[in-house]
Amino acid sequence: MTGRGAFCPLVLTDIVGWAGCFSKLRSCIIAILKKLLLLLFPFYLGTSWAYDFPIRDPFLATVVGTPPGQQVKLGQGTVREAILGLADETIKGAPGIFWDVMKPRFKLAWQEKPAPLIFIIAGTGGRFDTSKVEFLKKVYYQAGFHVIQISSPTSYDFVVSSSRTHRPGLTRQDSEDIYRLMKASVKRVRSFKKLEISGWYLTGYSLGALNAAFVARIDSEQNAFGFERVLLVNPPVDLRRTVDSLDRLLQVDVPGVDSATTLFNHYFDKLAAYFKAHKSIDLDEPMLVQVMKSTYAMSREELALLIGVNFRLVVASLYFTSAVMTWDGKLIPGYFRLTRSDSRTPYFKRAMFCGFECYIDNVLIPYVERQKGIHSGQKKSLRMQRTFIFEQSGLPRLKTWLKRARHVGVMHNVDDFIIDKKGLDFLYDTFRGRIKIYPLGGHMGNLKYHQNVRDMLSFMKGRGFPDA
Amino acid sequence: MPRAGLLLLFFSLIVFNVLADQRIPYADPMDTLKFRDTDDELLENWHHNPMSFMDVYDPLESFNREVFAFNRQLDRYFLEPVMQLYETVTPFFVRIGIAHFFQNLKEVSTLMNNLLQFEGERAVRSVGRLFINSTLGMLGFFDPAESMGLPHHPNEFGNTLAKYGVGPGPYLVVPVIGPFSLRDVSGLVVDLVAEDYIDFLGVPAQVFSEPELFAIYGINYRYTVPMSYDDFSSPFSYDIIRFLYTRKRELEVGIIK
Repeated sequence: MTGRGAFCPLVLTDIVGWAGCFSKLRSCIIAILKKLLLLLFPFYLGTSWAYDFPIRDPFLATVVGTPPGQQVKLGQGTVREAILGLADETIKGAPGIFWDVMKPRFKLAWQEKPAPLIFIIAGTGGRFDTSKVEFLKKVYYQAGFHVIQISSPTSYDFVVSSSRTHRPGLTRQDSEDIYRLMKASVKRVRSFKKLEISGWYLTGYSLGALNAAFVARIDSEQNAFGFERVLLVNPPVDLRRTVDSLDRLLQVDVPGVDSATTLFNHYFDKLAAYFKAHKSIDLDEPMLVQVMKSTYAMSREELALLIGVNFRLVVASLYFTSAVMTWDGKLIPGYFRLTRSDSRTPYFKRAMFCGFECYIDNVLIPYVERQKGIHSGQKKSLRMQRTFIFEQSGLPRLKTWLKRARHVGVMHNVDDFIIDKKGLDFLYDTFRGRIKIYPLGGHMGNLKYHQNVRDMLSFMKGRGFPDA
Repeated sequence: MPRAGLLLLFFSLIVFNVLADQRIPYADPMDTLKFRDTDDELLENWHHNPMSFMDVYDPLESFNREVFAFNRQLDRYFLEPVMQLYETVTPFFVRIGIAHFFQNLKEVSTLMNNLLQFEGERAVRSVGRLFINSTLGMLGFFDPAESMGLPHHPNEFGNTLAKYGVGPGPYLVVPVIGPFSLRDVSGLVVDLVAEDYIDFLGVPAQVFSEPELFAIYGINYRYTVPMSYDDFSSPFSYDIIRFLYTRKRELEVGIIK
């Protein structure tokens, strides 16, 4: 009774207020407008540029990430986790030099109570426990999820043990491989521990986000999981743009750098000068931020080059692993069995000269041709072949489905070099209310920023993106 | 009515802003870069020996690669499980205490090398650390010297040799303990012999004679190496680690010279 008593006067004054309106129309309009203004103002703030990510240069953000002070604060609680292998799926007949990755492995973090489970797919070249995946694991684990971490199809271990063709790059196929691995890993988890799983979720970043979209599509057909929410973080859209950008990063103009060796010496001298000045050598994340702030800071081109070289290292590993697994004679002499004690340095050096486009031309296109049974007489031009692969494997391939898929959301940055204007517009048009676009961050630079993490969790928990 | 008009204007502006699906336009970062005129790629610009910066003097490469594979297996199937066990059964402060204790013993050889290199200031700092940590720091289990502005700066006989002009020599992968140059692994032996000879607090002699203590020494040694082979998930991890180790040592030696 007391509760209702307290409520009544409020209702009464409101009615009196409305009644009064008819007599004093003018002042009432003003009052209503004022109220509306006050109500709408927070929305206005939300949609405008209230995003204070501290690094404005997209290349610097990509290299150093979020400064520790602006990162989301994660608790120190222990994570119950284990790396599990799928003994049944161990690859047979792989060369002995790959002994360490013959068994598919994944990482599990489990809650002691019933909880939803989220799969995290790593980005280009990343293993299941690469640092960004580990970070996302902590975020979702603390939010109460069981977590299964999956390697990128382009990672060394996946190419050997989980890829059916050992030639990753065709998104649909890669995602079928991932889907199979996901189902097998859940089976393995059930034999390892009695987990109560109350729902299925999926996320991925960078190339892993593209894979996640295709996996979600496959699941909508086969229904092994029935994902409640799928979040794509910085996915590539048009793969031609992504491949062009990444390969072009190695063509930026840094004064004095015209070959790989001068490039390396260039960085090395900078680092050496920095260490000499600081009398210590301690390579970690805060140090990287320190170097950037110092007089040894790098130019935009130098940073871009660093990113380019890093991606090149990934393609080189991919190319080599794929060549050894498939007996492809282009990189390694045919029938030459590499053993543990053979030097791989010459292949490493040669593979480093092969960019994404070169990988597509040398590995994917011959494979696609063989699959389709095309003879040399009816060969299409390389350019047309590439276009075909890009169209089959890009996000736009899923456009009609994505428009209807209310459970799939996307996060991206307007200054990410793996997409372009057309790609961003595609995301806006396709995802509409399920999109969150940030004005800064480069490629994945703002992943650990507190606001990004808040938005991620908000989407996953079914509240949608704030202000989206 | 002007007040109402003004408010109405504001109101419609805000409504417009909220409803107009506010798209932040794309800002192409590639447009902000300068590119080289020529079409050739940076890495393709090679003449005789492409990517020669990767080269390390490694005449024993095939032997080294075998040992490297052995070390990786040892790490995955033995040392990492031991580390997991170590981290489960001991609280953090115990592990850090043990790490400090052995670090304090290393201060003896650090001091020796600082003296041999005529690094006066560093030698004084080492004496200070040794004194403070062995007394206030309860025989080295704590590191109060660090908070007094005397952080740990290791120095080794490999550095002393480098200072007097000895080159690194061939690259070696030593069973169990991993990548070294011939110069640096010799330096390590000299440091260990010196530690044993000086026998600070009588500990080194015991460590090397009692298996239990030696086991703790070994566990701590692995525990304080901030690296796992899995950090380099690549078919080229041997090349990458050889390269990084060599360059890191070059940087360290560069500081002293």
